[in-house]
Amino acid sequence: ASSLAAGCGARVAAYVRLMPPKQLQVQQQQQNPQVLPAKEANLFKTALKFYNGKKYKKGLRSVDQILVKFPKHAETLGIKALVLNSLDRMEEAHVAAREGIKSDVRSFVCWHALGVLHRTEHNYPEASKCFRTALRFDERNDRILRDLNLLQVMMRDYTGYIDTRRKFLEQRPSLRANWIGLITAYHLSGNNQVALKTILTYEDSIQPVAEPEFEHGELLLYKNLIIEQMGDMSAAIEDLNKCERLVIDKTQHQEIMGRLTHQAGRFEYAEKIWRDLIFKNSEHYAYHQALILTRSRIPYGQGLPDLKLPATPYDRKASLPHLNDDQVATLESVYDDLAGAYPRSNLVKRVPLTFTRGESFKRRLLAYIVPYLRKGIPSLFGDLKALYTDKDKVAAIEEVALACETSLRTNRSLPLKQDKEGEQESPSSMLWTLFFLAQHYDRLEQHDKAFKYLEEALNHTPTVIELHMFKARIYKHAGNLALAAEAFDSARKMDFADRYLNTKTTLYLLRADKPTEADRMIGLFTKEGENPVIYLAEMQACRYELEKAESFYRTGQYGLALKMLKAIDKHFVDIRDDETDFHGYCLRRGALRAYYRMVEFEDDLFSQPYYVRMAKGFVRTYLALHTKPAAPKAAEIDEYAGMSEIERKKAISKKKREDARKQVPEPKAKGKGPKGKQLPEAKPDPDPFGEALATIPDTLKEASKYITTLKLSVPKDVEVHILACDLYARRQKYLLVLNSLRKLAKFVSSDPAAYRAQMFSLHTLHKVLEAGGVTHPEVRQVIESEIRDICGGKTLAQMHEAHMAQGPATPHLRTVGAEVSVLLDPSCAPVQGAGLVDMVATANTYKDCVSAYGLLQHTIANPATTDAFQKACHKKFPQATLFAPPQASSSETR
Amino acid sequence: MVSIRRATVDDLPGMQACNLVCLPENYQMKYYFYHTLSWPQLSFVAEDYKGRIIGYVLAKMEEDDPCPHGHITSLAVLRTHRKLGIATKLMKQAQEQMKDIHKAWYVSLHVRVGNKAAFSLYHETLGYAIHDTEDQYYADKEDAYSMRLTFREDPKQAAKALKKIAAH
Repeated sequence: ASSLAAGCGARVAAYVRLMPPKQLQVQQQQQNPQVLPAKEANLFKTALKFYNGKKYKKGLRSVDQILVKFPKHAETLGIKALVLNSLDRMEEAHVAAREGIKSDVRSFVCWHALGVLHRTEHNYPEASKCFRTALRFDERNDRILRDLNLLQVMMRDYTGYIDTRRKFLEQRPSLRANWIGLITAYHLSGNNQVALKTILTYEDSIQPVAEPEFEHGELLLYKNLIIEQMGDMSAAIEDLNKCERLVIDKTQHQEIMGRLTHQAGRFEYAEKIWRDLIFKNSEHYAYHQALILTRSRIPYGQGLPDLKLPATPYDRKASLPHLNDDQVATLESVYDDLAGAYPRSNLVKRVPLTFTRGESFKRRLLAYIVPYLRKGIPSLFGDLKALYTDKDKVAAIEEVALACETSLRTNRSLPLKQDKEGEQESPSSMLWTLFFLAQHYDRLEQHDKAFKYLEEALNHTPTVIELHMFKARIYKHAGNLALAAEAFDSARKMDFADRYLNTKTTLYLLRADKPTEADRMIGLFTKEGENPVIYLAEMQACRYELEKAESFYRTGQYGLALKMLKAIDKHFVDIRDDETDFHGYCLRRGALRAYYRMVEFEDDLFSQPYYVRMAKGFVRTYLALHTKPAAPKAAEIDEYAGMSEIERKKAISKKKREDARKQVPEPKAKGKGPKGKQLPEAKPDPDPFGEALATIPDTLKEASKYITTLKLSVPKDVEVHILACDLYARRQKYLLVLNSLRKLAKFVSSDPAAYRAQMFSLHTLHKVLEAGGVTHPEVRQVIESEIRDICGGKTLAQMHEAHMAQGPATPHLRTVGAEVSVLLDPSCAPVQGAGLVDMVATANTYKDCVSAYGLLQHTIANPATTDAFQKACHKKFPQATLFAPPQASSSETR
Repeated sequence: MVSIRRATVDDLPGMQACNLVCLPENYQMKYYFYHTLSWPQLSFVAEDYKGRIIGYVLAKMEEDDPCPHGHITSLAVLRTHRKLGIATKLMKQAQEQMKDIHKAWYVSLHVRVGNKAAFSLYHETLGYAIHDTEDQYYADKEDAYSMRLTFREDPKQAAKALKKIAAH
């Protein structure tokens, strides 16, 4: 990565050559205050050298020396601004840049410096303006053009970017990267036609490439991507044929050819290609899915109307269309042949389990699992989990696994036909069969059975770490997170050197809301002498930070939750910024398809699961703070009573600084990565408990920022619209509530949470209208007509009744139903409460009952009913902490 | 069901997460990007049926060397998916690509001297030999074996390379 780090070092070198020649200087000096005498000019050069060599403090001393005599020398002020920028003294940097511009408005150095400052502060539009102004005074300045073009592509200002890239190409058409720059600029802007034309022009301008070579091969495949995106499939296939000889990446070439010929309906040809690819990598699932589709002569994308590049019907997410018996029979023989050809391939054996049925499935399943049980491969269950969406297959799995168990118990053998009569299994086969059955019953939410099998396995061989890991899992599923964490910790103690066990114990501790212990745990594996929280933030450990934020949220420590969420937010800012280094780099490297994917990835950055989870976390936390604002600490108020406002502020900030110092121990030794990379030293945290974050004046406004982003990045995420309804109602933005309700509409019939949000929002809107909360007549009219539209002329009570009568009532829907009923008519609370107690009988998991319990405790609030509910749940889910009798759980409650 | 395939840009967050769970040597996102954007064919991932990354090999080329060769930056497989031969398969795919795409002479890697399981994978299963020992290579001061697997020994090319080295 060192080649990328060069970034800012060379930034100023370009200035030196722009200094006026010496004679000219002397002449000009008398009239022009912007020209320095020789001594200061040398000092200026020294300052540049220091800046260049990242010796910012020395650089600052040099420029200050010049400024003592020539306080209005613009270029010196410009360099000062840059130096201060590097020292992270932004306010002073701005002052210097602005003063510089004041003394010489035509100084490109100062305009450039100001642009750099804005860039540091992520104010890209301002930065871009400054760079363009700087270029007005020095049109061909390479450095500034470079900074400008980067900014333009970062801002996705493709019109400007194309313009700048064209300037680069005009200046140096012999440079390959300049051609690639213009080509990618057109392509990124969506102008495929001109992008393709530019490639052709470039190809004409160079010596024909005779031998396969990496960069050129990549360009050819990139060109093919553009042709494909232009929509002419046969042109794309023809192009692929043409370029085959010169492409180095044959695998990629074949994958595209296989896909395109499948699209063109050339099944036989495509099938052959996919078989060739399986020869190269028989463990690539997409190759198998492609083989299944082409072999079965199923047209490309059949039954997948939403298919959009880069997704293909070969992805695991695109489920296979239904295959008829003939197709299945053909595929079975195809895979029997493949099994002979690839005896070591796992997928060749596993794939038939996806498309076979009935007896054939059972026979294959048994043959598949027996070697796993014999070898003791712990992931067998995980490997088969994907089949659990099919009820018949679940039953078959259970039947086969139980048959193995019985056979092992009665005659110590596995029921595989080709086995020799009387051959005895090793005792470990029994162990892994028991383990498999425990996992199977856990998956079916039969925790008692799962525990029973697991206990037997543990008695059989107590030293298998996987068994202890799994014990934690059952506890988690059964609702006892504290015991789950304990169980996982005992697994960890069996192998202290394994970081996986350490990390997972940490995550279990966070689920059990023990963040302090979690930090200590994960600290065992982070760098010695370094605060683990800081190290993990440095390494962008989103998962850990999210789990911690969610734990803080659960325990009502909103300030700390926000602090963690902010840390994650920062990672995404950084990942977005990382792009800066790659645009120029990729043009030179030439891996253009990967580069194009990178830009798309960055465009979609806010749809990354970690980002979405973080942003929702922000919204939830801010909403919670709106319901129950964070109070300043009581102790602080007393402590500072009697002080003036200013004294008080000072005292508080002093105390915070001290607290911060206590929180973050100074690292004993500076951390070093494996490559000897220095990690930054820890600074004291000015807000160690997130109090400042939790006491901002308008939490709802902050929440809105995230909701706006989420609505754009994951428009199909139902939870986003549910949160949006709540948020906008609180902000009294009723038209936005309606907008979110429209987005929710298609989820309402299948998702109780969406239904709940809809009913609560409609109820709120009714109340607001009744109370005359909307005065603007037109707005009022719109709201009324939209509500009529959604309700279809029914009252809310009628709607609710119709909805509840619609389908089978899951525990989730019954809980939501009760909640909505009580909302619409509080007098029905006793009836609804009794209904919830009855519901326990049909609930499968303890999670089904969690929200019902909350509803009983807080809304229905009838102690007798709550008690009855809790007792019923405790009986059904004896492990769940939430429903444990009060005396047993007293240590758990806060 | 595990699928082994080339890593793309979209896999990088999953690879980073997998690395953080398994190994004490961690990297920022940028370093993963650097690998994929420089050598898009060399890194591989193993994903489970839900598309979660359960193993990966992060690989690169050392191009400045007179004998261009591959290097394994990082290899990890979740504990839950061990004993399936996933690490071996990931490594073999990466090695093939190094040979095919970049004409690598050999591939190198570092392994903790105390990591017996990894050493046996590299040495016994994949045929790597110890090239050197590097003192205190890791942050916790543990030594590393520098190991190599040679792909080809072309006498003509070797002579050329030796000349180049002599000229340096």
